[in-house]
Amino acid sequence: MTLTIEQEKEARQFLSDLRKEIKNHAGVGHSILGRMKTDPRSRFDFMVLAGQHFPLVGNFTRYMELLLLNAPDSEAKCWLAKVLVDEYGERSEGEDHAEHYKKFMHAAGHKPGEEDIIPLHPEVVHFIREHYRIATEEPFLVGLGALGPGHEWSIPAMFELAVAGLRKAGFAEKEIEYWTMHLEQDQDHGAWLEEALVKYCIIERNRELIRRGALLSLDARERFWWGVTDKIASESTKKHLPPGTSATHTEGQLTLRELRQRWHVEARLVE
Amino acid sequence: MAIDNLMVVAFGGPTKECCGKHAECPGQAFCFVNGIFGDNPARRARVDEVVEHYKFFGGFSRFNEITEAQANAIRAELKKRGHDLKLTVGYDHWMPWIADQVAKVDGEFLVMVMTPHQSAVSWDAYLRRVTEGLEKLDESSRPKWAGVVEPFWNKPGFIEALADRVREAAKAINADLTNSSTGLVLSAHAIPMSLVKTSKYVEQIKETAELVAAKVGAANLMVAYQSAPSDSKIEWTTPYLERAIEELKDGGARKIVAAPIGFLCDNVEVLYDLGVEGKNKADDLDLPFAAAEAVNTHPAFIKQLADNVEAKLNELTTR
Repeated sequence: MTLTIEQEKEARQFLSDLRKEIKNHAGVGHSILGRMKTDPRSRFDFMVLAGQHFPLVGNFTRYMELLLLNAPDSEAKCWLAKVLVDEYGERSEGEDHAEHYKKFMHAAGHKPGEEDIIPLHPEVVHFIREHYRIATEEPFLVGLGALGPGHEWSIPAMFELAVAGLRKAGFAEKEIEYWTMHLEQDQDHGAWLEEALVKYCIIERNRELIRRGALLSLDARERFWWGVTDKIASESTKKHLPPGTSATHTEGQLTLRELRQRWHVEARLVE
Repeated sequence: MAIDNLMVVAFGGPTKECCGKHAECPGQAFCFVNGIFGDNPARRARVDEVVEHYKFFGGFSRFNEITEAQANAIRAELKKRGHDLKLTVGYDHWMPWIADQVAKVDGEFLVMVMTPHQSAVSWDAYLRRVTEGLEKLDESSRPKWAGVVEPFWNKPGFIEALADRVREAAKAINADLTNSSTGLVLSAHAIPMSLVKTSKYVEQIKETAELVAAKVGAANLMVAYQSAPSDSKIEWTTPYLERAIEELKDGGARKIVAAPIGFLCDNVEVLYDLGVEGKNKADDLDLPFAAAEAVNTHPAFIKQLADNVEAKLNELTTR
């Protein structure tokens, strides 16, 4: 498909505006991220964060695989496949991202296997549920907006702040490779993505779908960060003070193991 | 060991003291608000918006001054009752920082959290700062944390103080609270619904509001939430203050009395978001409007907090 100069200019302007909108979204600019840089947090705080963040890391590949099934053309499939290959571990010594993340979790203080039994804040569950919904029930371009710009353009900005905080908290570079690896890989993914998106963005309706997907993902992200904020503040109280002192409760909170038992995500023929 | 220290912890507000974080001072209000958002460039527009509210009142807040007056009054009241406690006050978002103040405590201490309603971002966040301060110290020089004073959202002295403030405001515009033509808006800080799911924040606010309304005999009450960030698109506690004023008018209210039940002092959010923005909304709707003072150092409130400290001291010393 050959684009006219005018079409390409219009598409790239939309993508540039979308990048700015994402960069300034309250989910990317959540106070907890900024404060990781300005307000050193302890290993314990990062241990709490890791327990809530791991389920997102472990499910991302699945959303992408589901979206790949609905991709309308080879170009879109190629972009999704390139990102997936990284997720499977192509550029990280053959270890997929979830395995890399477990190394960080253990460095932060979690015991092996513990990642499955941590009570998850309802906003962690919402984030995962919302992305499965977007990947399977929304039009393909909404899914692409969520998993493309909504993730790849926001993660480098968020992780840059997180990495600064992790270093301040005394983590060694080896322990935080999951995070630093994404600073590099997601820059690449973001650039590949922009090229893949241009051809869709010559049509107004497509632009609306892509933007809607990105914003749906970022709203879920903002809620997720509030959930992490909640957990970091309250787990410290629960660790150091008598039961009942914290303002919060964990009633009804599910673990990752319970989620896996309850949820079954499938790709199936619907007639 | 006797409990001989009381540590009062609160959110904090900008004073004339420089925080020293920038080579060239951009203004204390900027440093304060920017610090809350973690110096994150993505929120710069929101930071600038809030800084303007501070500038409206000269660029500073009376938060710390009033909190310290409250703490001193509680200490004096406890001294009268025979409890001579050393007092330390610290803040989450401004100097003197809670974590630094912990190092000044010598002996066993109680913590009192200056927030009427509990959520992770206030109650637990301030307590977390105390822990952070303790962890910075060697075990040998670490003061002993005896306990946390109970919260007070439904305690009679707090309700009495709020009711008094509501009556004073009603008097200023000659409003009859017992008549449904006077709308009473009791407001608290909005929080994201994400935090409501794990705390009793909304239930506690509702209970405070109902107790205050019963005390003043209010016929037309609405709970409202204020100060939510304008750049956040997720769901926060509602109705927002402006919408509540509109709804009261639609329901027949001809005068509005508003009171900040979720705040303990006349900080900038009370003075601007409730006092200025609330009044602007009422003006737009041609409704006479009066905003009540926060409880500040109301004697009933101070006595209540002293009661709560004393109760905790008694509970811990009879263990």
